[in-house]
Amino acid sequence: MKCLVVDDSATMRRIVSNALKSIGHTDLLEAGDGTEALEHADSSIDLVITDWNMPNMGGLELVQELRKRDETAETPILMVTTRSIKEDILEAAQAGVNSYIVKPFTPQTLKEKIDEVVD
Amino acid sequence: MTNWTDDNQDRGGTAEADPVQDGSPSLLTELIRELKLVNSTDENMSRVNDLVQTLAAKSSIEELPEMLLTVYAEITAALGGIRLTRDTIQANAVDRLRDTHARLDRVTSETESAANSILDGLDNAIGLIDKISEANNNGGSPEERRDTVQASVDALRLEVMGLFGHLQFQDITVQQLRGAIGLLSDVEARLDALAAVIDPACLKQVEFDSEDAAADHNAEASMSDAADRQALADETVKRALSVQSSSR
Repeated sequence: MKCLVVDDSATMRRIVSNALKSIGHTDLLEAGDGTEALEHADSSIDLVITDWNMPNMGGLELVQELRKRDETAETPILMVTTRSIKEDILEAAQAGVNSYIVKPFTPQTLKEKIDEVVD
Repeated sequence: MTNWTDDNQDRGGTAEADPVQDGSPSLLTELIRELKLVNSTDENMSRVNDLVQTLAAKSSIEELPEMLLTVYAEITAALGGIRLTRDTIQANAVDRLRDTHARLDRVTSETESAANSILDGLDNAIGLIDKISEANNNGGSPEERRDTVQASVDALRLEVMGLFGHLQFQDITVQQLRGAIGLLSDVEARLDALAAVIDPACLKQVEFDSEDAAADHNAEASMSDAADRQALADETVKRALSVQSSSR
């Protein structure tokens, strides 16, 4: 399974990537913001894991853009973010995320959410 | 001798401002004016007339009341400006600085908490390494040793993965600090703007914390109550997706 990890924090990209590797997902791509993620996003991507707050293009805008494109309209998307108020979670769900993870998370939570959204 | 008061009333002096009410400078100005009108042929008045002329020649005395009024108006305006500045600082800057203080306190406590969690994880990891070493050196049947080592390796893997989780404090506290920096920049810009009101020489380009700057961080980020917040997210997403699928 090919995963695209999007976060402006290099530390967080490393943490998410390590968590993914620990549960057997080793085909990984990384991007520092939404704009860079869109350059990688095509039909070969099986899962997008994105932060919300990022410079240039944030996670919410990225989700909306991915949903507009035919090749990524159905790609599972996990939002991993510090934002945890109900209004934000609803906004992300309405934008098209399949699941939502609040930071700080455990690798176990990441695994559960991936299992939920990936067939 | 002329009755100055009656004379003054005859000239319609009552319509003018009452010099007694205006204070000593006005009284002095009025006195000079009245004395100028007195018949100067009276020998007894000659010395008075000389003094009056001398006093009248000192224009600064006649201008003093007006000057004092101008100074009074300027001081009142300056005091008003200072009061407005103080009130504005009270209303904006003080609350924001207090908020910044609270945010920095949270960064300190969450950093300390994460460091303690990482140290606990490292202690546990070292304990598990010791256990593996002891099993290899001392013990039991090959099957028992293998089972003990495998169980310890699994536990060690969980501990190490837990350490990765605790290291998320770096991302979270960075966002908290960016929030605090944004508040301090905002306060600085507001104080600069207020200083420029009092002294335009202080004016410099001021930039308030913009939406764009705030978009790359979440100032409310927290390490606390992650399980409760995750439960809220799960419930909210589940309901939202359910509504979406039923409306299709």
